[in-house]
Amino acid sequence: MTQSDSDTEDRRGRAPSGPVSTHIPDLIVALVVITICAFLYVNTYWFDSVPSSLAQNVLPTTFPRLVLVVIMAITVFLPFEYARKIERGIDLDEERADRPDMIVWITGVALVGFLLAFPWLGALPALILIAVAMPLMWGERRWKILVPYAALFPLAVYLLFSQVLRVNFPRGAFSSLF
Amino acid sequence: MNPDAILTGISLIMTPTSLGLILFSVMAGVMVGALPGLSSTMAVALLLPFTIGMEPTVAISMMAALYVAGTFGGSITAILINAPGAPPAVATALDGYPMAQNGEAGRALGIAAVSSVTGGLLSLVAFIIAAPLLASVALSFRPQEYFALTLFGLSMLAAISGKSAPRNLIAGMFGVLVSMVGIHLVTGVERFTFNTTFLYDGIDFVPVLIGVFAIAELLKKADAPDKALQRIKQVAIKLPGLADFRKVWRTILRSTGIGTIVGILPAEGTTVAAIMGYNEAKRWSKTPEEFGKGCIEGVAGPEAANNAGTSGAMVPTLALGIPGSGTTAVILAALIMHGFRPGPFLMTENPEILYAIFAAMFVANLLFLFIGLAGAKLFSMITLVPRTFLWPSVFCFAIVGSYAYQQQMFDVWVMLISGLVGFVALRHGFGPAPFVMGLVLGYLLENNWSQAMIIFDSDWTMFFHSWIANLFFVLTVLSLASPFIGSGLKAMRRRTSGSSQTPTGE
Repeated sequence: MTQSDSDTEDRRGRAPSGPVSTHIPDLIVALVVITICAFLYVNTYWFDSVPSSLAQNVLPTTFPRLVLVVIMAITVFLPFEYARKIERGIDLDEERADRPDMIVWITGVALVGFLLAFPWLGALPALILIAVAMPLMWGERRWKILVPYAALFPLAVYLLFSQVLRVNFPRGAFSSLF
Repeated sequence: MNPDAILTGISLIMTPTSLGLILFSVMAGVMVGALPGLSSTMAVALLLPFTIGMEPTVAISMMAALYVAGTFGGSITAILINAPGAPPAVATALDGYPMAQNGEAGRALGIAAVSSVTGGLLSLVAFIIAAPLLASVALSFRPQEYFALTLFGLSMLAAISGKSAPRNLIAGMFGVLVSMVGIHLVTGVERFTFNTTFLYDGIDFVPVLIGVFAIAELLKKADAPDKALQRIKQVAIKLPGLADFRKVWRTILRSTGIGTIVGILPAEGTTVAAIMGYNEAKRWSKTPEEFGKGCIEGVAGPEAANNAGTSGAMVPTLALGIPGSGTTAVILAALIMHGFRPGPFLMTENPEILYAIFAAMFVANLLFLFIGLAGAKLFSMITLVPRTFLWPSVFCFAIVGSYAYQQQMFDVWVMLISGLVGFVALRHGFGPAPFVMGLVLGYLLENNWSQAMIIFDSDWTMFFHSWIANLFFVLTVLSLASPFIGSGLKAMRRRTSGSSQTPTGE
């Protein structure tokens, strides 16, 4: 193994191999999962209490707590899995090896924006906005395809759902036009 | 068998409208299957809202047809451009693409289509026999047995294809947890609602399914470069000749058996079936050295197995209410959405649905033989659709579809949040299919557990008084231990082969 290889591996959080070596990214994932579970477990104490006679021996907290404990128990194995898997040629870091490009974050934020615009603009204008903005955001510049796509596709989807499937969409600010 | 139910089921499908809708589903399925990145599971999830106003049996039949066709569709691009459109076609590419490169693309497609149809039709026979039998056995199940069976179904997530058994189990258990949101059935207490009225009725399947399958994949594709794939230009479809048939008929029959059995196992899917079909075809072949270089058995094996797996996967889904794969988990959700009660009672309450699905899958198999063969070249062109138009279209369908389900914005937000969380989870190895299985099975698991605990007066040891429940508990333990057993056996084999080589000094 070259120095650069070992540097890369260190950056990816691989601890020195050994019989019970931990893998830092999985350790973080395990901590996140356990924190969520612990939060939800504590939340079960805020469930309304019911008398045993009404609960018929099945309290509303029992099953969620059981599931949360099982999740936490399985999660304990996560940080130790990497070393075993890599020996068998399975790389658990394959999907997360590269950080997502900026465009992934932008797309995520844009999706939230589109949803906020959906009731405010109305369904059809919002769909047109998506059909124009998303391809542009992803680098599409072939206007001869983009313009007919943005005009026809949202209209077809809107008509299919509103006319054929009888869905009442939010009318939005442009309701007087439709 | 109930002749009235058979006639009703078949007559529901044999109307021009139903046949037209099945034809549409088959075409959509082949297209989706051919497109790398779009899975038939995602397509079935996106199809759900379209079917709201439809006759429920026809709606479920459409989904079954899409599932079958989507599984075959992946083989077209696997053979023509070495890009399996769907995971079950991964093994097909190993020999299909070398055949295409050798100028035998048409022959490879012909073998794939005929093997798929044969596997699909033969396993349908197993489906129509096994499903009612299994259901009649399951009718005698009491809550404790059903609880044990559901637990076994969930435990199979440990053995499901995927890189990590613990991650599959964690995703599945989170699905179970999400199914608990809302009012507790026995006591009426709100759980995990965080004092919001939106969560009072729980989180519905449909937007979650659309989110985890479509939006998570969309975000994954946001930074994926457009690949320039090399297409095989000359595709003259050639149906397999008698000599080809002589060479592959044993492989097809063997793979059909493998695919059907693997499909019936809860949580195992068509991908596992296809890989096993390929491996067994190679193991039994007289010319294993030809595999990987363009061997027709290498195409027939996985194709017969993966399509046989689709019918197999429908058996536990309909007969027991335990999904046989990720896509059948979505179909199970659709059954619930349309007011059916999946499981053994489905056969007594709505027996016609079994035969309608059988007829739809039968028709779908025949249709994709013609559509797939005649339009193979056209379908392979689908990969030319740039991702910059494909994924915005998927997003439009995802928004409109999740809104249309109950006509409320809350569902659209649930879809988006599921997708965003699903994307992060996917990056860390938590797949959407185990989560969805947990979500679908969660209600069944808790409901049967609660019923059993009420009957047993909280004495949980009573669970072990039933031999059927005990059998499923043992199977659950074996299933959970299977990754350890598998690696233990491999290590033992390595040690054995190592020690046998040591004396020779090699």
